[in-house]
Amino acid sequence: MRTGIAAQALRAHRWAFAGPASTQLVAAMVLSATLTVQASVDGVPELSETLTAFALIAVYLTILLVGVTMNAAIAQQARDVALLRAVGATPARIRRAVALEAAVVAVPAGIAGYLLGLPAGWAWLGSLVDHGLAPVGARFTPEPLLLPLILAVLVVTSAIGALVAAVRPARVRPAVALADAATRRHRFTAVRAGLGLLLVAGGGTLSVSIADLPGDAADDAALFVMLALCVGVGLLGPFVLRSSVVLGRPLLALAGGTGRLAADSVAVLSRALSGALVPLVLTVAFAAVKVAVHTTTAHVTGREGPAAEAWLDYSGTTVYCLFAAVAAVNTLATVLVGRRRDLALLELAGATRGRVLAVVVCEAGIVTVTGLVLAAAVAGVTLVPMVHVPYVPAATLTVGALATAVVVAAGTVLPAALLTRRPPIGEIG
Amino acid sequence: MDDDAPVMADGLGRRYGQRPWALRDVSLAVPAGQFVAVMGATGSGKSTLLHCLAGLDRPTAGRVRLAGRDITRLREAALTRLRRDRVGFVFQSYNLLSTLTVARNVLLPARLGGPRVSPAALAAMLDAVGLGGLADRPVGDLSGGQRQRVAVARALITRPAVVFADEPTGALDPTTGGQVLRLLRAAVDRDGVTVVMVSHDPLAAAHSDRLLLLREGRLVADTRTPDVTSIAAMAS
Repeated sequence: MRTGIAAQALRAHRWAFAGPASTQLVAAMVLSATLTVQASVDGVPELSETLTAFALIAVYLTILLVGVTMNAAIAQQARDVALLRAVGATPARIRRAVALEAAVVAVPAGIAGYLLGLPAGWAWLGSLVDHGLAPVGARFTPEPLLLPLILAVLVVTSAIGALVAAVRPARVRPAVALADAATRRHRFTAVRAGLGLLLVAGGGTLSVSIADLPGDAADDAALFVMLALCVGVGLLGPFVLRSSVVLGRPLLALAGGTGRLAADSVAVLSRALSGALVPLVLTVAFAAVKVAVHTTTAHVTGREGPAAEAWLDYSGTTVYCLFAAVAAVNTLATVLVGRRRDLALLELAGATRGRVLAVVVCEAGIVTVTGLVLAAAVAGVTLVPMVHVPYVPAATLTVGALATAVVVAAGTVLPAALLTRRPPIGEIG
Repeated sequence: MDDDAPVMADGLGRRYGQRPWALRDVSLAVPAGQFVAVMGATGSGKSTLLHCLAGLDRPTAGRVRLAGRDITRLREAALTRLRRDRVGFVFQSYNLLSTLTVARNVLLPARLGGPRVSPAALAAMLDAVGLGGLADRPVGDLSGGQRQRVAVARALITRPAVVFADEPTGALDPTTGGQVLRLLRAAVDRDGVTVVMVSHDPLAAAHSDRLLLLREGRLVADTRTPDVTSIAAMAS
């Protein structure tokens, strides 16, 4: 029998699905652009292989990130899930409903992503031709049959990701889910700190020890340096965020009460926010390494490296960065949406909407600066064995910093502005 | 002990992690057609007892029988079906799915695969709880008292053996709370339903037949329900 659990969840918790929907949109965009370009340059095997790799990465990342974002979406429906479990929904039925929710959202997100992917693909093919990677005669030919294919891929990957994400929340005993989630508290444990320090130290040591290896071997090993550092930074995240609040307090005090409020809330939220720090640092560091390898070569040798190779490298980096940015925005937005009552309370206690948003902007600033400093450190340590003294033009650095700020703002200031449009009493009552 | 009792606990205990026992060595049997009120201060373990008896949580020690089945080690899916088919629930709040209509909320157990409900039975149930004519209204439009009556209708529609109510009037004023309690009382008297209700309110407990008092996780009193003044004196 059709129960309509999924339909009710989609209606009642519309905003909770912004996360999976944005992931699916980006995935559909990447698939639409790569597959259309691939169909357009049929007959160039090397390029074709690279494009297939991009598409496969997109599929893999979709399963992963739809799972992560659906997890947050399920958490927002925790009360409903507990009620349904109490009155007779089995864990399997909850899992099926969650998978259906993700699949239903995938259809409009997939159509929008497919359409947005077409202009992106057109521009991309143009640049591939300009860089001599695609034959001059290649014409961008949209293939309508790709839409049902992409939708099918998206529905299946979303359902898989959602099923995996729902395993734990569907099995939770109703009594546990009915209890106030706020009473559960996590602590920053010594084990976590130790493991984080070990990974950071290991990454640093590896970087120094591979510095004298020949080029290619050093490049391969550098990937492990970056991974170790990023995971380590993620584990140390809460501690790092609290430290940056301590360091930044004098500066924040210049912003008066607003700055102090922001510093306090980042310190309290350090654990939740550090979840967003990992994708943020990973993306920025990865992009910085990719860019710096090419710009440093150009700077040292005084001439551009093979432009075509660099361009393909940048294309791949863009795909990764898109997904990681979506993950970072979603994690940040989840934290912010979880605080909607706190923000409303702040307004009821006498803060104007502008003041509340100013606090959120300050918080976003703390996260951005912390993320950039960490990413610069990670990228620096990773780059040393590859290029010894990295060089990136100031303009490129500025663009990167601005892009990071935009991503952080999209996950904090934007949802805060949307949420505070309603009168605060609506949140509390 | 009476093996036919719809609710039975033997040496029941519940402990969360390494914290002190939330519930310790509680044994009781609730015969069919009895209205039991569980009282106690905040943190006395009364909600934990209700959750363990109702199969919403699993005890750390002891055994629980519910509607004729030992649920202590029952698999999650089987336990869920038992709740769906034989047990009704009324919580203090978050009882309903806010975007569904009154009728759809009441039919939720049936739509999840529970006992079928005829349109006539639904109409009769809505009339009985005073919500006739509101079947197609979204529950979001209703008052607090009306919502609790929707929850009672959902709890009773499957003709359950037991209804568990956790502070069902906690968010209501005395008048609307009284309506909800009279509905539960009527289900006991008319249909022989067993009701186990947790409450901190002596006025609510006064509707019951039997009063259990918990203190620091232990059952310290088990008597016929006295009058309101005596209940208040016992509970304080």
